[in-house]
Amino acid sequence: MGTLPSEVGDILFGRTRRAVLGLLLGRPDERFHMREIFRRVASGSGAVQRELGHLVEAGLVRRTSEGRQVYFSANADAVVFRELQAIMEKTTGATEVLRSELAPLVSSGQVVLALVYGSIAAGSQTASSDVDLLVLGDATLTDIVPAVRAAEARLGREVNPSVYPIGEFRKRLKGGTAFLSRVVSGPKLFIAGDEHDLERLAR
Amino acid sequence: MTLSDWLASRWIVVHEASPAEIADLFALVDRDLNDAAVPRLSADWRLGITYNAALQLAILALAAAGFRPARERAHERAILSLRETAGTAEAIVNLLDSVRRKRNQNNYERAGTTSTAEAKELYEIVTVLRGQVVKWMKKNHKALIPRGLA
Repeated sequence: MGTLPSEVGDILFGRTRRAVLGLLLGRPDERFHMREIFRRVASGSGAVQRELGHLVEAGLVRRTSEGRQVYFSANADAVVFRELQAIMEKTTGATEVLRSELAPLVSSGQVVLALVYGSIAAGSQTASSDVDLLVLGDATLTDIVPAVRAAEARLGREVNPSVYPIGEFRKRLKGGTAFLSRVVSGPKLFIAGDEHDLERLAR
Repeated sequence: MTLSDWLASRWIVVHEASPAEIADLFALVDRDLNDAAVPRLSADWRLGITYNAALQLAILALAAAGFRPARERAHERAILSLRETAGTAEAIVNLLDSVRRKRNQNNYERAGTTSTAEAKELYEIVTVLRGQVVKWMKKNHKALIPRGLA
């Protein structure tokens, strides 16, 4: 019996390393300040620093400094860069794939906040797990579905979007919709916006 | 792929539709669109009912073309067949296919994942789709159209 993609991810990477590699390999042309990595990965700063140290030592991540600022980026020259990127995309790269597919809608302001919740955010996905996606903003299903389907083709997983206008999200959250309460309080991976934005939009 | 290819792949089987059958299917579509407009229903349920109207439109268009979906993945293939029958735009077919999965999630896994905005948007899309299917029927399968169909 073949090993499931999620098991490959679990065997190869712990949660923090997966998240760090997913961020850096998903956006190989960008460099990230440590603080931004902390924010996006949503793990303890000590664990993130440790993982970055290991990855730099292994030659998979580049560390560059400008004055007192230190940046990290994927090392596209690493011998296993392409292979590792493909593994990350197939096993844990949902947030990065969705971020790139939703980017035009985020840029246009139609998507104010987007996040992945459910088993993938909790790191408990199986091979058949869907990607559960919550989108807040003025975007419609008609706007979101093409991006979702492009992401599905890249990920080999189904993506289930829930698209809420901000006003309705706030109203239903306050009205006690259990689904939204669970999403807000549960594990999540941000695609657009962050925890502070979510708190602000929920008020 | 054409419907002939679908037939060769056994995704659909030959089926001779009667005017009574098409009338019954249109009645299901109209019942569902009427029910989906009831505002006190949950958005999840309204989306599900509207999706069902879209599914019946797909099945009746396929029936008018002389086929019905084979048992395996019948709903998915019925929805996808709208491209080949009524010439529905790919973007709309893709949206309906995504809603098919969302509706399964709503029905069996998790309540509250549908916003009122999504339910309303789908309702508008399927109302337009009904008009397109009627127009296509009038052009291609006039003998099967129920009397007095708007």
